Order: sequence, then C-alpha cells, then structure tokens
Amino acid sequence: MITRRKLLYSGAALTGAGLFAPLWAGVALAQEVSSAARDDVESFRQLSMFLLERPSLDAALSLRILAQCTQNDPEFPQKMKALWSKVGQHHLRSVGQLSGSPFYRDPVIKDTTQKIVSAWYLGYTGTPVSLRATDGTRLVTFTGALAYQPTADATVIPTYSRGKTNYWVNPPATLAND
Amino acid sequence: MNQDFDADVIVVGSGALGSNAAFELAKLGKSVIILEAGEHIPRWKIVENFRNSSNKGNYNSPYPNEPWAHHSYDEQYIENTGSFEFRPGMLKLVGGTTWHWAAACWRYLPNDMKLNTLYGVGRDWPLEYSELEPYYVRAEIALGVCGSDTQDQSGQGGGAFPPRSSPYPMAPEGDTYLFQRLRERMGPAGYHFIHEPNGRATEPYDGRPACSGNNNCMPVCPIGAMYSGDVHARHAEQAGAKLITDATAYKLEKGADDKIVAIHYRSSTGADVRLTAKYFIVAAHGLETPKLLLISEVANSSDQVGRNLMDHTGQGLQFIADEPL
Repeated sequence: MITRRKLLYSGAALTGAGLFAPLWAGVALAQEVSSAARDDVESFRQLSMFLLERPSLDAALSLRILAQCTQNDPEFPQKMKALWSKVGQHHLRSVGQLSGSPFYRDPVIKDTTQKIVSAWYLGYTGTPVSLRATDGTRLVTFTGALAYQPTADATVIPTYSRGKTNYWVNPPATLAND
Repeated sequence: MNQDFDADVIVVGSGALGSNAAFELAKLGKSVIILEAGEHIPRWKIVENFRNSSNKGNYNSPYPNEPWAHHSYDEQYIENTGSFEFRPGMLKLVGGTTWHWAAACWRYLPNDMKLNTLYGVGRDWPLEYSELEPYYVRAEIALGVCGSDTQDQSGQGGGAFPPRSSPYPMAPEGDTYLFQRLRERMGPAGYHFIHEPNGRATEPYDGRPACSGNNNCMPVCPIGAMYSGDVHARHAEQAGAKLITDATAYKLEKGADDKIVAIHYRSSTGADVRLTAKYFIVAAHGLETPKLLLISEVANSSDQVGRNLMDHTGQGLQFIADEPL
C-alpha cells in the first residue's frame, strides 16, 4: 500500500528530475507538491536542520511545511532562501548565533525563522484562532510534532496509551536523569 | 402503545440530560421519541478528526458543524453584542456536549444551597441538600463516578463531607506522580489536596473500559472510559426509545388550554414534521432550551426565560516547579 507519506517522500526524492507532475495523486496533494520548486525543497530542509539543530528531519514533513508556508505566503520561498543565505554568508554555526546576530532584528528574518521552527514543533502551520469554527491553520503532522519529544519518556501523546489503569502512580523511569 | 399520540413523551436533545430522562422513561414502558438536531458519529471518527485537526486546542474542532446544526464556535451561531464575548463550547450530535466535558462530578455542598442565609449573598435554594442527595446517588450510578468516600470535599481537612447515603460507584484513580508531589509539598503549607470525583471509569463499568491514561479527556476520550451522553442515548434506544437525528425542533405547539400538544421539527432536507405527545422534555442546553421556549412563546409566565444566563466559571492556578514532575 502506498501511503500519502510514502508518496510525498518519493516526490521529494525525485526532485532532481522535477517529477512533480500530478500523475494520479489527489488534487490537494498535487497542489502541495507542485507549489514547491525543486531547489527550494533541499534548501528548506537544510535550513530546517540548522534551525532545529538536528542532523536529520523527515523529508516528507519538510516538503509539506514548505508547501503550506508557500501557500500562505507566496514570498515564503524567497524569504526562506534569503535567510539560509544569510546564515551561510555569516558562517553561523548555531541558532544561538542567529538569534544573537544583528540581522535577526529584521522582522522578516525573525518571522520566517519562527514560522519554520513553529511548524516543526507544533505540527501545524498558520495561527490558531480560539473559539471559532475555522482558522487558517493546516496540519503538518500529529505524532511527528517535535514538541512531544522532550517529554516522550513521561507523557504519552494524546489519544494513545502505553499502560493500564493507574500506571501513572509510578514516577517516570527517567526522573533521576531529569 | 398509545394510539392517540406519536409518543407518551418527546425529548428534545440527546445529551446526558435528555438521554438519561429518555432511558428512565423507556425503562418504565413509556413510548419515547428523542429529537436530536445533529447526527450520530461513532467515537473512532471523532478521535480521527482530533488527530487530524490543525487546532487541537479548539475542543469543538473534531466535532460536526453542519449548517443546520452548528456547534457553538461557528460564526453564524452566537451574535455577541456586549463587551464580553460569550462563546461556550456546545456541540450538536448524539450524546451532546458531554463528549468533551472532562467529567468533573462534584456535588454541591449543603452550605452551597444556603448562600443567602449563611453568607448574605445570592439566594438560598428552595430545597435542602438532603432532599437532593438521593438523586446525586442515582446520577453518580448512571454516570459511573469514581470518588473518595473519606475525604472532606469542602477542602477544610475534616472528615468525609458532604454526607452520602451510598458510596461512590468506583474507587478513585491513583494519584499521578505529579499529584503525589503536590500533596506532599502543599500539605505543610495548609492546603488540603483532595481527589476530584469524576466520571472516568476506574474499572470496567456499564460497557465502558477502565481509564488507561490516554491523556485526552478533552476533547474526546478515545476509549470511552469517560462518561458521555452517547452512553445513555444508546441505552435509551436499547430500552425502546426512538431516536430521530437531523431533527431540529423549532416550535412547541400550544393546545386549547395552553398545554403543549405537539412539537415541530425540520430536517436538513427541509422536511417539516409535527409530532404529538402527552409530555415534552426540552433538554437542549442552556442556549437552545430558552431559545425554543422563547420562539414558541411558552413556559415564560415569569418572564425569566433566557435571562440570568451564566457561563461555566473556572479558576486556574499555574506553578513553576523546582523539581522535575
């Protein structure tokens, strides 16, 4: 069975050949994929790894975030590439160096950074509006949201379970190392 | 079966209140019809909707929001005119808003019912706690409440309070590690940390599994360990009540002597239906119940219907801990 995730992944892998044609995928998927230019895809993934300080990130999610941010703001790819090239020009080695640099005061740079980090950690793009039926948010991933990882040893991702009634009376096994 | 009426009793609303009323009546052999504006949605679909929601902090987001059965966050549903944005989280589907109620099941204390006498504010209730107590017991059994039979729920650190004629149906869940630490740290400062009685099963109960800590009481318990009104909508149907979904009641019809003789509802396809019954129960929630009464111009000799509306109040405390919890 070919899942949506696998399909997106294969799309990302085929960026070199520019194979983003909507061959048989759904319309929404086709739009998501075609809205991301191939050279942007790799830049975005590299920039994401730098901003999140991770050696690797899920390519499918990366593509999805890029596509959704681009749909929300057609200028996003340019902004993202401008940020990535600033990082290169200034030989920045960490996010700390970025947030401490003078050009981080540029609201476009800061907003672009926060949009990317937020999407990876929270698992959605857009800004939630409370107490309304609709808003501009779009899901990127549920269980893949990075915000769950720091507490994954102690707190189960909502709706899932890994114990039986009253398992919670025991302290988290990792408490001693916290 | 009554031949002169469509039912002995027609209940508007399939939430916890309407469904429990329908079930009790159906058990007694009454013919009962429940009208529900929304649809029946199986739990697994709500869970999937939640997992796929891009705004998980919006507790209405996994639930249906149809043009003919809006949930209360819809822009078309509540028109606020005052300075306060009143927007409680009501749902429209079989089972009602207890799908996402978090299931706190506190009783009122005897002194809560004598606010004026004891504290000089508000009004006293027209009945005593002792008169209400047997019904609390029945409600706790119906909802499957777990709680402590020994703690002072007034928070004063005394003996078991308020008085109970029957123990809780289930024992409390064990304290989380966080609660254990809170109790230990706050106790010496004079705070009595007590268990909150709640409608989450701690052992298999009435077809519900025991809570397994799925970390999602709100906005949907994925396994149905937490009580929600769909339990009694199902029980009512099994006891013979007829549940009609996609049926928005819009008029209670008065007869010659001003008694209600019929109810009118409309479906999303535009079909209008008139049903007769000997009795009607309007259990459509704090906004829809007065709305139906007001547009039908019934039951308002006091002129108080729709007035004194009060939202669900709440208080929160946040702590920054000096130890890992």
